[in-house]
Amino acid sequence: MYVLLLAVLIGPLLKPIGIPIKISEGTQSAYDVIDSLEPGSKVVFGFDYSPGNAAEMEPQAIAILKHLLSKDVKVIGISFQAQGPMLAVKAFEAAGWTEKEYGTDYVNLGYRAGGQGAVAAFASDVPGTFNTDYQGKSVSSFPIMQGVKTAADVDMIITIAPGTPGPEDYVRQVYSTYKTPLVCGVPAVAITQVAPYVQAQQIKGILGGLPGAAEYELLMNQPGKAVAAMDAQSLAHLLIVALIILRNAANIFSKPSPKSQTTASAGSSAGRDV
Amino acid sequence: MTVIALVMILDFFIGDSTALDWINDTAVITRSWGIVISAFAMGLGAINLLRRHSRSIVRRDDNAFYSFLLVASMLVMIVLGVASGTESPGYDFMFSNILSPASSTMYASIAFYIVTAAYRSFSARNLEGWLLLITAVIVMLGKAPIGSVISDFFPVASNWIESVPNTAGMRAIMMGAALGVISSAVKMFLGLDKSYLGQR
Repeated sequence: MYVLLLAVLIGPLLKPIGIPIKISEGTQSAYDVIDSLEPGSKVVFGFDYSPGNAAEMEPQAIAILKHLLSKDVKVIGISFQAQGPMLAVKAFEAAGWTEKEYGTDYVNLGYRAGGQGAVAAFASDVPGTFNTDYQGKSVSSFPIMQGVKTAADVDMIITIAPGTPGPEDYVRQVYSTYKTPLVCGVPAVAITQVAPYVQAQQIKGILGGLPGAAEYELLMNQPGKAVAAMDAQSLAHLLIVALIILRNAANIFSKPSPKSQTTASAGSSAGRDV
Repeated sequence: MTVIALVMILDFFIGDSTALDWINDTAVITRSWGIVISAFAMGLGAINLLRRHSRSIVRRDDNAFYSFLLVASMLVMIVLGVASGTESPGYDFMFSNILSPASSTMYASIAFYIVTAAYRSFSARNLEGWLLLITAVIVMLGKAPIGSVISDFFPVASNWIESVPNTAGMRAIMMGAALGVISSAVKMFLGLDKSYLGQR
């Protein structure tokens, strides 16, 4: 089974099939709202992911950063994950931001501990919470930070976050008070968790997992790593579905014995039944 | 604690009232304290980890080798980060070539567990089991590009499952949890629950 999975993952990566990718509503909304930003707008970008989930989250961050770069928007990078600032450096570099002027066009303010409490502190006092950047320079020396006191002073907040603090914390601590438009990127498994906030329009757009990143790359007309990986993901999903059907084929054609039904309903079968 | 809690709650509701600026200022300062305490908690956690594993190395416990690996890698990263900065080539090398690939590998290995679980454990034997499995298959196919290639039904059905029954369930859970948090908080404010102070 492991060999089979490796084959369906590696095969399409080496020789892409080109399965068509449809743009989801959440990704389209995220693209539209970011595309509507005026040149010179200020955006806070939360690098709230870690190296463990960077494979899924980094393509989202890079695709959005490329879009922001093309819109000539100013980006204030922050992080509530300890390893976020290092990943921010890499994402800025991969998206081509290093050609811009640091401190004027973009800045990396580093990490602050405290989870949801830190998000609240950032929203009410940006320069007080992030008083130095990632390299320890005072934020007051950066032109990009002039006039930024609270979350209300920026035009949008984008967070790429697989866990906590994540979009929910930004909605509670930032959007509910300051009404700053919020866009987020989450792993595929977390879409359902954030869906109520998206439906309520508290989150203006959402990228879900690697498919979200691939869709964004396509909207940008810049297919990248995420688009390349989508064939592999499609086939892996198909393999899992095939295995589930295979496992249950016997159940379809055979009548379960009273004993097995009792065991299943009593939940004593060590997680073997669903 | 009750005073601090009241200040934080009032800060949320008073908005931009200049007459009550002192409440905003107090709330901002309190939140800064929260960040400082969290930073100290992280430091304390690191020290505890070092103490626990150093003791394991000294005692030559069964897993002393792994404790040694943890302590050694922790010290190397701390020394490199503090001495030469987190943007130094040495720190960047360790981060990009050891920490990142190791973390990604751990995350990616989930795929193999899922494949094994799909075959060995996902066996439906009653109506609820079948409902769960069918829903999982629809969402799995609907969320991957292959789903719309097979049939337009998968993305449509997947979106419906996500935005109607799932969102309804999530809202119920979130509201239930929020009400629970409010009732716990009120009990603490009124002094009816002192368990956070270690009292019964």
